Amino acid sequence: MAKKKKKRRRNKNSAVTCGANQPDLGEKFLSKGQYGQAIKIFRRLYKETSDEQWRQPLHIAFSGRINQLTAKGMYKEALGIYQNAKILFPDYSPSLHVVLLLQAGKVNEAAQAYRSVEATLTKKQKQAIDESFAALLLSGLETDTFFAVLPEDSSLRLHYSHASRALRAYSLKQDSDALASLQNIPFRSPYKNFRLALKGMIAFHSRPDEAVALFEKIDHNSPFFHMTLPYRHLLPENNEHSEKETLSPSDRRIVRSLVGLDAKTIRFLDSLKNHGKTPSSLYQYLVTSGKCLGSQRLRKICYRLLPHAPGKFQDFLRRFGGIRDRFEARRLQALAMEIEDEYFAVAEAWEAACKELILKNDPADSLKIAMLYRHVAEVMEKDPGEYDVNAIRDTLQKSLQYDPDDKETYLRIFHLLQISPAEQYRHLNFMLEKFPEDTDILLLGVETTSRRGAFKKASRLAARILKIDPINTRVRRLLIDAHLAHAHKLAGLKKYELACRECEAAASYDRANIGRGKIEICHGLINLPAGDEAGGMKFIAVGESKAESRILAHFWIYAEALSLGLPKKWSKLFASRLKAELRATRDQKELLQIMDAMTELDGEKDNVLQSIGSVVIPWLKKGAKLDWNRTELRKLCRFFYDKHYYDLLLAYAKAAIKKKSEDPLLQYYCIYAKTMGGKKRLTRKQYNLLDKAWLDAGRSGDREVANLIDNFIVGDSPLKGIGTGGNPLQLLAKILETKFEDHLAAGTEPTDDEYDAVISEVLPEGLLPSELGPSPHPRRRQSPKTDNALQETSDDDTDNNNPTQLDLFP
Amino acid sequence: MKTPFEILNIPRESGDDAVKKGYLAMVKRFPPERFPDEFQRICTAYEAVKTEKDRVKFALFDAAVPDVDALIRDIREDAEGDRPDLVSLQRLLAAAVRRIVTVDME
Repeated sequence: MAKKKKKRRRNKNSAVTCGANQPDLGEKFLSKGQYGQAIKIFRRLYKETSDEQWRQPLHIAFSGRINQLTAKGMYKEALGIYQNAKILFPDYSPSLHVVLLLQAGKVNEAAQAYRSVEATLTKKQKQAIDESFAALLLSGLETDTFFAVLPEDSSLRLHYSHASRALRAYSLKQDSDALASLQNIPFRSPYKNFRLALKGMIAFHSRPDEAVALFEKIDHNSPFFHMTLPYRHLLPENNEHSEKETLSPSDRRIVRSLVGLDAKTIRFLDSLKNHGKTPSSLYQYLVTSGKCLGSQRLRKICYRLLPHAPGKFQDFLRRFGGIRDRFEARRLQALAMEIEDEYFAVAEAWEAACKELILKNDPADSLKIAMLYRHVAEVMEKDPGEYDVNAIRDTLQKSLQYDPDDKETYLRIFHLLQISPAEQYRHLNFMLEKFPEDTDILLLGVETTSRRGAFKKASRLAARILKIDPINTRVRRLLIDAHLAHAHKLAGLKKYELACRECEAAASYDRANIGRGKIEICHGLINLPAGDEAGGMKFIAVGESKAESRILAHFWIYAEALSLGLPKKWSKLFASRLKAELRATRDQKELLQIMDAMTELDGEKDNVLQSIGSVVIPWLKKGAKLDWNRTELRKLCRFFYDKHYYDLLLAYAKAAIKKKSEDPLLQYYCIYAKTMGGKKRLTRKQYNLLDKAWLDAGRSGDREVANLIDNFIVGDSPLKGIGTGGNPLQLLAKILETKFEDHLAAGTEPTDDEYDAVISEVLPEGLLPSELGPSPHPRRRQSPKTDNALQETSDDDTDNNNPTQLDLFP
Repeated sequence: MKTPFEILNIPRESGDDAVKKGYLAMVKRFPPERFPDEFQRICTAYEAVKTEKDRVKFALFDAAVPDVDALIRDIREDAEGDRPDLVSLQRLLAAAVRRIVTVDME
């Protein structure tokens, strides 16, 4: 060992002494941070040559070495290096000398040195040294001897008592006293950063955000900033300064005391983030390393993780004992299934849980049972292929046995009964009896009874809502409509007097002109066949004046005349008036008004709609040349699309494409109109255009348009004529599912022959499954080119690559 | 991750009035202008257990994955931290003087 040491020392010296190029070597040591070696080289060079050029590198080497030693906590050694440097450079940083004396614990010497060099220091250096003295004084230093060397008016001496009192009060949780003492410390005091630090420490316990702001205000090389390190370490906004600083054992003790957790728990919490990637891994890490959290807390967290980590169920039972009861076990199981999206079994699992609860026969569980049944119904609704409406309705009815006043469930049943209007109406009456004052149900009553033509009842229900909610304009409008519809009905029975009374009743609810003149127009038109021509025309004139525009007034007069079935002389007169008005006007605003008015005519008889269409459609078609914006064009096209006005749709979609050619929806409308809504087969060009539009819609994330196009293309399939409608591939898949039920149950695949036999039985002769059009699923839908390519290949390809076959037997 | 009952500082068996009382007390303690995140947490918790049906729904179907960050925060919040005593603070100050970076003093 001794030999080895000798060798090493010789090598070291040889590096310093024997090198030919000493300055280069010194520079090399400096750049590598080997300041000790650099000092030796540059000191020798400086002494031997007395050349001033070595002064600066030697100065850097001394500073670097002192800094290295202080960073390692070797304060006395650093002081020794400083003293060596001072021999060569008598003016070498006096402030550094004071700080090094302080760090080495030689406080009195530091005080004397400070007094002797005070006059030569800058203001900033003085402030920094004063702060260091202040920190040492507060750290419990013997003050008497130190104060003896300070002048009486020194702020270090004057403000010490306030700072010391504040520190003591803080440790005793007397925050108001601490803050009061801090108030006495002025801004220019060497304790000014202490004031900020202590205020931040007080805020730390209740207002962490404020603490962060206060700590940030402190000079980062102040001892008081370093004092706050354990606090900053715990704050969420752990800034870069505290990240660089490492905690000493005493700092860690303070951190533990502040957090109230032991070292092991703190370490565990720090490591927890890296193990929480999945619920399963989090569970595993908690049970293996989280004992420090205590068994109660650990059980609680693991229990919450169980539905997400069902594989750990047995492990949980082994470690923490049983689950509370059978219901709870079933509930966890069902929850796990639902999280895993196992919809085919979720409803059954929840029902099983529900039965366990029913078996307990505890009246306190009634609401739970009702909620469980409702949830089962919700799950069933998500899988309409598996459960029919009646099953869902029965489940909801069961829930009402346990919670008979749940309005939402009654409403859900009402909507489920849409397929059976008579039953739905009975259910509505039951709801009206059960919730006579509920406006939602009354409103539903108004709408449903109006649809059924029971206008008298509808107006009675609407009047009841208005009593509860008099400012509800929607109900007011519904009420007026119900009275007018009743008036129409009575006029149809030639009971004109009663019809007029209905109009008067409607007028009594017309506030702020929400009737828009329609009441007066209807009243006037009913007066005409009743024989009161003059009175009728007077009413019509009033209605005209109340309407939003003249064109709209004439539209309503003609539409009402047709709807009331007035004699031809009147309808001809009103048609000619409307035509004259249309000729005189071609304004975008009025065109949109007519379009909205036509929407309101939904439910009118076909002959009424046709007659109005024959007058209005040519006028609307000319409007395509007007300057519409994108939203208006989309709205207009949507309207014509819904109403199957193919000519209009084509005119407007073409005009729109000319302006904005890349809109996939407008492209679809255009082709839809050209094929008369799919009545004509698509040409190759149209097919390609639609496919491009479908892709564009998919790329822009417009799923609604993509589905619209997809369904349209699928509807163009040759199977359309033979099936019951809908998607031909889905239809074929259903047929195959039924035919190969046994195979599906056994998990086996049918042979090629069996498959071919069924295909030939189901499809028309010569038609291949690949010709049924693209799959409705966007990911599976193939481009027309691929479809054609499939069609051109041999039968073998259909056996192996048929998407339908792959779907059924994965 | 705390349950809404723990956030509102109320027992699980609380009725509508107690839940509202707990909510108001917490809002008073954590006003939105000073504690926006905490306030949001309190509001979400209140919405989750506001009525009896909400509470039953929460008891039966709550399946939120425990969030690790929330878990750590809750454990830290629950631990009763204390202040360092005067001697520890004095040691901290003495150590702080030694942490001064000497290069900055030249």
